[in-house]
Amino acid sequence: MTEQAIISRRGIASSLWNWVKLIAKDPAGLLGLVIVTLFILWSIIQGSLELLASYLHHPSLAYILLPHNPYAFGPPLKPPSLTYLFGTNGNGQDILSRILYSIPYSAAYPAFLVVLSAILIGAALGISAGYLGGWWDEVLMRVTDAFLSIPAIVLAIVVAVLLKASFIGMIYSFIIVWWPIYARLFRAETLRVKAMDYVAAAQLYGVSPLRLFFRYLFVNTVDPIIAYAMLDFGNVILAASILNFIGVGLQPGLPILGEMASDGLSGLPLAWWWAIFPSVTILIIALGFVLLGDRLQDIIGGRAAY
Amino acid sequence: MVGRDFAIFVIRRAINAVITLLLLIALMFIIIHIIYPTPLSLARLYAGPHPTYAQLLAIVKKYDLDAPLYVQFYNYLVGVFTGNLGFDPIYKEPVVEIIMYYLPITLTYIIPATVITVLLGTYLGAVAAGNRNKWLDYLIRAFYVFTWSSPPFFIAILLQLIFAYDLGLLPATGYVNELLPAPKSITGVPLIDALIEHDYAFAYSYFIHMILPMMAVVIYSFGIYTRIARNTMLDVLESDYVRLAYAKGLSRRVVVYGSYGLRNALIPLVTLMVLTFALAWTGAYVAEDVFLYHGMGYLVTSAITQVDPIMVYDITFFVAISVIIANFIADILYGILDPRVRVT
Amino acid sequence: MAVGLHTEVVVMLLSIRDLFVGYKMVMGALHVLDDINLDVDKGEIVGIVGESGSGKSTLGQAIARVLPGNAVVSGRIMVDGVNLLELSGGEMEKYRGTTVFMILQNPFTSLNPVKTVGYQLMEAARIRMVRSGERYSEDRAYEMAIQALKDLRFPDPEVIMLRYPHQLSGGQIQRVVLAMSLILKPKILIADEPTSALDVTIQAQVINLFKELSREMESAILFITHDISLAYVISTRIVVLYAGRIMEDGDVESIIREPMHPYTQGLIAGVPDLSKFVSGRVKLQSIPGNPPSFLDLPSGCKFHPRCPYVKDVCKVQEPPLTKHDNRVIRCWLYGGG
Repeated sequence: MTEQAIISRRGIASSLWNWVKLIAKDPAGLLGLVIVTLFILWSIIQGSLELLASYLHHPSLAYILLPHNPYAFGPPLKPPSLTYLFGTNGNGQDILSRILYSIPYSAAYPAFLVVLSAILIGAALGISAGYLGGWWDEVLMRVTDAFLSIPAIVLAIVVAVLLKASFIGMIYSFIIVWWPIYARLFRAETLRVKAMDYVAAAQLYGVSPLRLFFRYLFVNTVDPIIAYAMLDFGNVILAASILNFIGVGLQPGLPILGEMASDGLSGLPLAWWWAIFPSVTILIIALGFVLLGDRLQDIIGGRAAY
Repeated sequence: MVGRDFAIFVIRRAINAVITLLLLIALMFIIIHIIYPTPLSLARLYAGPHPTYAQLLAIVKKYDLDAPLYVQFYNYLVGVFTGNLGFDPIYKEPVVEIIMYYLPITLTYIIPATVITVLLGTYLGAVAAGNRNKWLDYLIRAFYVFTWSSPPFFIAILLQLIFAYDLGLLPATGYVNELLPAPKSITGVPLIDALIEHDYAFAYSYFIHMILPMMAVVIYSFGIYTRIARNTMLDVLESDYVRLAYAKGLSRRVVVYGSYGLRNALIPLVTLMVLTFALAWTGAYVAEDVFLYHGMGYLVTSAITQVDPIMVYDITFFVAISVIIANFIADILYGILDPRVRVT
Repeated sequence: MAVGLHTEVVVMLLSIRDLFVGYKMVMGALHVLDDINLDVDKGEIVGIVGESGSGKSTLGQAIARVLPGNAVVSGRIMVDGVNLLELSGGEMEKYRGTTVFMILQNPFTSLNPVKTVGYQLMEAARIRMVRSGERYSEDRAYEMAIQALKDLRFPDPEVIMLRYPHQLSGGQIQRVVLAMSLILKPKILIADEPTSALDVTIQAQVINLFKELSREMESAILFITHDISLAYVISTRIVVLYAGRIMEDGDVESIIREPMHPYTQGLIAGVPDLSKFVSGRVKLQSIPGNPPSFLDLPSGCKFHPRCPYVKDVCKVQEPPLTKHDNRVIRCWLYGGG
């Protein structure tokens, strides 16, 4: 584009606050940032309350921020009103409370567990493949090819089913399905970075392999991957909701967003709120990550200038 | 297109597809054997709910589940290539027959759905890129962002509420009017069978039942495709040869939508088309659940509810094969579109 | 008040006044070209010389109006009396190709990879025919393409027409693009480092072709390069660009014999084959340091941090373009109040 705008990583934004300002310059990015921040804050607060409640064996502790007890039975199939903002389901339980209660473990835990694990595994395999090359690289490429030849969710379903379709089984299944993309991304970035002089300089200098891995390779390959990971949080949340919808990855007793939508099918078309509100919640959370990730990718990819 | 070079190219791609298929078979075999390491646990897969110990032993005998791994793998390979994937404990029929009954029903609408998504998405992506930062761009971007973030069941439910329940234009559930007699099974594809026999009542009913699930799948896969189509177009429009084309005096319309912009953007998009087809399967799983549409998705969700893991496993296998075939077709398309590829 | 080189009342073919070009970037605005004032007459070959990062490609792209979308432009670019910057997109299209054409630096990315050479040449022929009012005929277009390829010394033009760009070498592609220029016959041809990606033997060939083109077509050629000796070989006039500003502008012989601007002197000092032409009155020194980044331009005269003759005023105020005999110069050493 211009002859010399060689923008180093430090040059785009030197601190987290600057990144936030850059993201917020775009109204869509700003909206995404707001949604994601609210989501994370709520997950931390409510999630901690839930953990505390189960640790202290005092369940109602987890309900203090909710309008109603998510398990309490009330008038069934009531449309949205002032008391029940999102209406009630077939059992008379307040849908809004159930949604708020389930957000931490329906959406936040799967998203962060899966993406972070996939990044670590993918980084380890991808960077080593890109750096060492040879048959190890060839093997990795072939294996990821095989994985990527099946639609992710389809594969996730079968592995989860094989793992007895429990919640943890679903998480493991996602991790297994998700790491190949990150391995590929890290490998591609490593190949690009490997060609750069400072890596060769470090090698000549005798830097230990572990230090090389972290301080040179990982740090410099991780940027575009962060932007992709942001989008991916949204992808995992959507994927988890799909699996939950068709009956995989459930925990008996705990309300789960995707499952609520599936239950709500029996309320159609009259009790539309039963299925719609959980679905819209998932939509908004995913939207936040999509907008944020999209904006980040534009900034890092140099497409954000105008 | 040089004839001989192209033929070699096609053959190489075909070999590649077969290798990927074999790797896939190996991968699935390994996954199963890691999760179920003992013959007895494997036997559970083929057993129905609550099998007795004697039943499990019988299954181990029947499928040679205690044989060494390479023998089992060999048996498995033979099974795959002869179309024998075992006997389903719930339906009490060979798995392959059950799948082959439902498979065409799903393919009949997800293939056209993928084609529509690709055509629509490519065009709108190009329009968005060509009108960068103007209102048309923002409109298209808003649309794809929303469809991308929507859970597929939300899309399906909305479609059902609006078109079937509110407006009453299309049927809400089912894949055909149950009261109509089914056509003779000639090709195995109900819609085509009906058309061959001039059974227009059946064909019409089948068709209108197909529209909503197809729309659901299109809208679901549309988001990610259009976003990447737009980004690809933007990148292509910044390349040197586009700049030279403008410098020559070609009009903006010709450059953006003609052989410089769109045509070059198609090349990387071909790989995306395969991804869209793969995504269409996911959309199908969910849409069939919402619309009670009796295809592969319905088979999968019932298999999950009925705890029939072997069915889920084999369905996945078929889905994967269809994606590998789609990949092969895309590779050929790639060779047609990009002259640089054919030489190797 | 800016001053151009030619002061005759004759309307120049190309007349640039107060051109400013900047880019909108993520971090804010980047100012690249400033106070560009230039007149070019037909038949002139102007060598625009500058180091990489001086804004010379931007200048070329600005004239052809093929800048990227985030560019901000102000000023006037007059071609035959018409201000190109005031034209709408559609009107500008008609000027590109037959009035202004540009050759790009990297031959390997200049041609459309999915179409044959013949298709792209005939496309140019069609544009030429339509603009001249001729009815388009495919046969005639084919003839024009073949003839252009022959003029560029291709021994087997019919075969080349069927080839794809990836099947040609860099030198061949550059000659194909030159063939396009022959077909289009633009009044102004801008060539952005057309020989940088080629090896030396091909370079010589291409340079000769340029000179022939200029004679044949009577076009004005703006030859952009970082290599002042190359500019010397090919140009009738040299314009020296630094940090987005014109530093010196004069006819080629006098600039080489008596370079006035310290930067120009430094450029020539780096080339022994040229330095020998310089008259004894001029003291040549090579220049230390690097050109500034556009993100962080120095105050006053942009060259002052590297200038061996820097004075206090240079650090504070940027000198304007002033006329000195037949030379235009931007330097406090030569007055300009």
